[in-house]
Amino acid sequence: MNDSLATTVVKAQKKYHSPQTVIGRFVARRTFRSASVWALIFGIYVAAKAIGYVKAYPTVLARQKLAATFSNNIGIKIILGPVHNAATIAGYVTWNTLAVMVIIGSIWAYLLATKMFRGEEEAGRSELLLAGQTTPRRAAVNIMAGLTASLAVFYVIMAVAFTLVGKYHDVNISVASALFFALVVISGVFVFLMVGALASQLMPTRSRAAAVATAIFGISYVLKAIGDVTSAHWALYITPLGWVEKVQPLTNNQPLWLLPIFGLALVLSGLTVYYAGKRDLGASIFADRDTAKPHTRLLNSTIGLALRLTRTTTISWLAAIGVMSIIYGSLTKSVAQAFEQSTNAKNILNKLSHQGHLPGVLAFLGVVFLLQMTVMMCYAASSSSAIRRDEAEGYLDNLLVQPVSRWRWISGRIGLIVGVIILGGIIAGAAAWLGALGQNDGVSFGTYIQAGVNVIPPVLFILGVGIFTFGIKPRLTSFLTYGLIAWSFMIDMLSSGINLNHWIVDTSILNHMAFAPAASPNWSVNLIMIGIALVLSAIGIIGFLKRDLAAE
Amino acid sequence: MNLAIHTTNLSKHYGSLVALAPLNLDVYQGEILGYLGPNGAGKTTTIRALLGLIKPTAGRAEIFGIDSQTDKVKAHQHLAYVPGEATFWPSLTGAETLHLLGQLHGQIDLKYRKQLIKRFKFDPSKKVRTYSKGNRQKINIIAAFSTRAELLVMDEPTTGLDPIMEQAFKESALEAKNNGQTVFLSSHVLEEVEALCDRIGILRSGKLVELGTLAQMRHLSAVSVEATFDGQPPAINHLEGVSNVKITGHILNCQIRGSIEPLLREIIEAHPKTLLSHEPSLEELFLSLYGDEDIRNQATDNER
Repeated sequence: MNDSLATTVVKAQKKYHSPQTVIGRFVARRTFRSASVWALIFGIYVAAKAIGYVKAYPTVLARQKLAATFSNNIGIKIILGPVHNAATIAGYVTWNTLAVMVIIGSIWAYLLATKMFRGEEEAGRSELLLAGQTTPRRAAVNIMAGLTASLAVFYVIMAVAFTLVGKYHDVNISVASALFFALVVISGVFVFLMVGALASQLMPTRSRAAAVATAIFGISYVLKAIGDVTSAHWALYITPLGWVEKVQPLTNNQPLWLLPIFGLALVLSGLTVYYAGKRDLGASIFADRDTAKPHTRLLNSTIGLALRLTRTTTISWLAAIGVMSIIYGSLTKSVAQAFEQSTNAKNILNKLSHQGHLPGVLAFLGVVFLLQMTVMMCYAASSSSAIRRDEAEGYLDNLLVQPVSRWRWISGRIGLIVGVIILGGIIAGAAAWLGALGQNDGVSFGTYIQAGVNVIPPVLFILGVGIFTFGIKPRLTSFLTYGLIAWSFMIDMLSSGINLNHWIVDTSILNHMAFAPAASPNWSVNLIMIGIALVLSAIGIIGFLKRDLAAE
Repeated sequence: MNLAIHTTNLSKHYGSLVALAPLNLDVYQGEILGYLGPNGAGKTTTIRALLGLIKPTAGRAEIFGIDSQTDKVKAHQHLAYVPGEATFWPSLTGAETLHLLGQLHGQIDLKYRKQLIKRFKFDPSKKVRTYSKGNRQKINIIAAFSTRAELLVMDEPTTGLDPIMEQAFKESALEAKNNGQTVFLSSHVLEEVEALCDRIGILRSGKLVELGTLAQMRHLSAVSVEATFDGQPPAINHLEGVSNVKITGHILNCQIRGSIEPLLREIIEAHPKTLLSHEPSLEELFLSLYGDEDIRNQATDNER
């Protein structure tokens, strides 16, 4: 090596500090943005709940009445957990937001972990990283460190937001309490981040790792619900979600319960590192069958292929909508009673429905179908993202180099998604009716189905936005569709608690929808929504037919 | 002779970057055309424009007289494509993927497919995610050849294949040619192109700079000469067409372009012990066309 070359090499080496941590920094860079967005959403959510509460219940008497209404309601307990000190702002905020934030945050976390571990491995990118100055175990530690760094960003933003909310007059939550509350939220999220990391070591594909993590999360949630509503309180001691509940931040701080939470996360991370070193790259602890007999029944067309590749996901979405509707339906009568007795709930529901006093049953069902609407919007966003992923990862090339037109492919995919959306709406209505069967809630089967059908137009609207973006700016498909859902949900939540400018409120899709079955579906609005979806889809399809295929 | 591919001023720009300068190219039915160029020269852009996966900025391309942009489906009925990188659905098996691709193409020679599976030593019962890179590429190759399509468009098809499988590929490509099929072969393996192709097109910075048979190209290029003497080799620098003169002891190496007669006269007068001359290989032609400097420049342009 000549001198000048040697100098160049030395200079180049000086540029790269600690190559052993590069994977961690890379993972942190790729994940901190989504962590920040969720932290902001949580901050706004807590602000809406806290400020809404102090405005709706300014007196101690009103707050005590509210506490009495909700403290023994089984339906509310299953969804949000038990109430501690609901007559105080701190108690109300904890009860109303902690479980929701931990649930949403945990799902986000384990999906992110499976993406960063198994997803990267599946895509073949891990190979490249593992060829650097690292080992599989060190790489696993790096990935977890990167994810934890993003979680730290999550914590900081959330803590700042909670502190600011605490400073709002009448809310009065101390800085220390706000910081602790944020820590409790992040502790639950942290455990499920590590569940996702470990599941990625155990299962051979990202979808299976995500399914295992979802199952563990589901079991944890069910155990928590059993512990909350039955005499089997022991169930709370064997689930991390129960431990989070036991910490009781803002009300009756039990910080010792953080020990098993972080302890479990540590054990899971240790197992992740152990298994990462034990298995081969691309392999898993629970091996899948590498060979299979060919099943070619659906593999004769592009629609058949789409059906074959998405059938598990589609069935899971439809099953989730059905099960959720049955559960919520079965809670109708009990939650409705609580709604009837709560001024705050009435105020919120009046704002959501743009109506005067609503009967409790219809008000609760209105909330249920609003939630289903949001879930199905996520299905539409995820389906449009899947269409984009097919193009970005090169799968679409395999089809379009055959005598297959772009129109045939895209129209088949859209047709399939629209079919699932319509089916989902009907299932949501029918399953909620089934769940409420025998409760004599006075709501007819037809009304349930109508409410289910009312869910469809905004979901089609999101699909229209997805197809439009896919055709015009394909790389923004996921960001815009999920962003629009998050925005709509956030504005709807905020406007139910505080007064927002009507121009801002009008930007939420949910705001334009009839609060069915509490209000009759507004078929004119629905038709307009479908019309806009059709126009957006048409523009998107034309854009796709005319543009170049774009890789990732 | 019928044209399998005909392009008229086919070009593609990405902003100010000219990925493909106006290309006028005819590929005749039944021939194997090698398409060469360094990374970023525009080979894949040409193929993607031919297939209608990207829109050309200007010009048009025809596959057997069918406009490949306006009538893609009809054009694709006449061709099969092998990309350089195999991206298949990981949950399907090899057999399922082959079945799907065959169904979508619409024509398949099942007996020949079985032969190809055997020739390429491919196990179709495995799931795609378990295949190595080379085995995934075999799916592309088997799927394309078994369609018996009139035109095979191949973009670095032997990427990831071992030498034995490369041989199997050559055998299949020659079979296709003998069967009257046309092959448009973009490749980096110069030995493969040299062995298979009737004509060769060479791209440079998006422009087709050479097109012809290897023999035609050799005439355009220098002949290498090596002579050994008992004493000092003669001075030949003054001769017309002589370049790269190198004297190592009693050995003279040089290259000659144009008439070789004056050089031979000088060498014979100096009483050589041995005299060797050989035509340039495709690799030498390729390198002489580009030179290290050009390749470096192109790499820098691509990085920008």
